[in-house]
Amino acid sequence: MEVIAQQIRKEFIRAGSQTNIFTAVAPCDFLIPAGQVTMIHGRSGSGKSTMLNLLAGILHPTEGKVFYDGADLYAMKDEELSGFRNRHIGYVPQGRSAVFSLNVLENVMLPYTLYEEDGRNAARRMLERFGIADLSEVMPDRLSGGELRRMAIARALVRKPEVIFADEPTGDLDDENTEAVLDSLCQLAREGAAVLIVTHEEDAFAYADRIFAMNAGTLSQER
Amino acid sequence: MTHLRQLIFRNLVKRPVRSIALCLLAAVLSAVLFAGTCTVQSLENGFRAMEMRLGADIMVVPYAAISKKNFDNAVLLGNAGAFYMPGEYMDKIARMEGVGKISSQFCLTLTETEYCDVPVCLMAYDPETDFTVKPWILESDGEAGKSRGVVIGSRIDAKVGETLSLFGTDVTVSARLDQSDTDCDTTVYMDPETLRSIADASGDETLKERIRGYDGNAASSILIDVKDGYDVESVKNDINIHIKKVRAVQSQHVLTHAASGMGGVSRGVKLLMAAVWAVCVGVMAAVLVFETRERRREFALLRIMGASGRKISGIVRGEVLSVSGIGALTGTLAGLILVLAGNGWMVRWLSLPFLFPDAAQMAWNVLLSLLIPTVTGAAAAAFAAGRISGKEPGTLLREET
Ligand SMILES: Nc1ncnc2c1ncn2[C@@H]1O[C@H](COP(=O)(O)OP(=O)(O)OP(=O)(O)O)[C@@H](O)[C@H]1O
Ligand SMILES: [Mg+2]
Repeated sequence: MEVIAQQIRKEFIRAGSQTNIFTAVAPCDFLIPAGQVTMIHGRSGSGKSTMLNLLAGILHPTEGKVFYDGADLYAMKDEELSGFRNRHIGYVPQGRSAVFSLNVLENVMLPYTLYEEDGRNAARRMLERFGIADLSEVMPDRLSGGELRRMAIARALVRKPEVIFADEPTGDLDDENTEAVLDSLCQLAREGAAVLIVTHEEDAFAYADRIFAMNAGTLSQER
Repeated sequence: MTHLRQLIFRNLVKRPVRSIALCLLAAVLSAVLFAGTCTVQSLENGFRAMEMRLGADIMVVPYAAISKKNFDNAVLLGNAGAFYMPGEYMDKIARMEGVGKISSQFCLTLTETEYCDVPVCLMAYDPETDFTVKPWILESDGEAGKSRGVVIGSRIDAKVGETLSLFGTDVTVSARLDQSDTDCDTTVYMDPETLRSIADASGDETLKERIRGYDGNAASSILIDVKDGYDVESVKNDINIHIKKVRAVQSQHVLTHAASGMGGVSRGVKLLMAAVWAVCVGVMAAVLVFETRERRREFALLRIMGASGRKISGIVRGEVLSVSGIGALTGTLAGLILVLAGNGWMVRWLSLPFLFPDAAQMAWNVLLSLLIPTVTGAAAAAFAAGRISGKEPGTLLREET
């Protein structure tokens, strides 16, 4: 599945600035091709997460459109868009992300559970893949930052989405786990997924097919 | 875990304090609603029973029997001690416009009996025309038949089925009226034959003298049921204008002092129920709004994974409904126990006519006290959920806790 953004722009209302309007993402066209790993890097506050959210169908752009294989994402109603996210989009949020009333396995199963489906086996396979199978029954508030992140990645990938967004997925991982996570994402791209990663780490660029820089809301291609 | 309801259950278990607090809130609301409704209904039932007992729209008594001071009481009693009206009044009134059923009663006052600490009125109803007392007697006297049946007020110290001896005349209690706080409480209703034989046996000259008046058709009070389609007020006024030396009073009117007592208590109880309900709505909504705010990142996550705004509302509602449902159930049970245990105490404390609701009313109350807290919880949940489910997941995600 291919993602195309047409002239998307995002403005926020922010008190204190001259016009009270702050442009987090300047108008731009953007393509996430299927089967490739695309990376965006940039300084803190430059608008990377905002861009990711616009593309992932969880934040309406002020202007512009986002197409998934020709389907206009933001023309969908909430119910439809939510179902679409569930089936086609994997999203690893920045920071800690867990449902703390559920154990690790149940957290990873959630994308299935939300639609009353049984994702137990798929979830087990994911936990194994990211080396946290032994933590299945542990509650998330007992996990280290790295373990929590791997759980979040496992959950994002459990439904084998065709488009994957990862916001600083290796932020608090050691070299070994960073490698494992990036390997997995590359693997998924090779299997045909469109992958977009936001990262700070230059080391990660080795895994990228295309690299973009985000600077105060303006996107420019570096590779 | 393959069902959304399991997530709901886990969320409840994860936050025991909140769950229990909401549950308790619903329980208190249920208990108050149930006990309160039962109290109000008991009062209203008691009041209605009293109204029915008096049974007439209009009561006519000799003018002399009434002083300004004891106006309400005298008329409530309707027997007015030792004052009587001549029999022809009854025929005159019966011919008037709008007068439907009409019947007279005749009272002898006994200042001392062993059955009551205050003077008792022996009231004879007219068996041919009576429409207020006989229903009570027919009801329970059919099988008894051993001695003459009487109906007694609540202050007469005897139980249904017991035999009273009045100057050697035995009568059987066929019915006992509930407390009404009117002079009906100290009255013994009987047929004229019984009254005559008691008066004869008493050996009291005054009583004998009065009973002779009765033979001449004198009446202590005349009870009137106004025909359908006629205004009670104007029929009453007609009587007051056209018949001399009597006073016609509307039953509704004379009941007002008892009614205002009841009205005060039941208004208070209703106010209390409304206040408790309002507090519950407020606290529930506040707790839920606060709590969903706190959990917005978690909800954002669920949204990102594909939960629609509607599903999020469903989760919040599911959580609240389960706890408020359990709360409502326990609260209703507690209310039931409270009402059953406190019933006698209420009667004494309020000293107002108090008749317990019947099974159908009770079932209805149970239903309401289960439903209202549950619906209230659902509304509070909808309100809280509406504040997050409408927001975009990308925005929720950013609002870090
Ligand atoms: N809802 C919002 N309202 C107002 N301003 C916002 C909102 N969301 C984001 N911003 C602003 O938009 C800018 C871009 O934010 P964004 O989170 O996209 O940055 P980022 O590049 O992901 O930074 P980081 O590397 O620290 O995660 C920031 O200056 C932020 O303050
Ligand atoms: Mg960011």
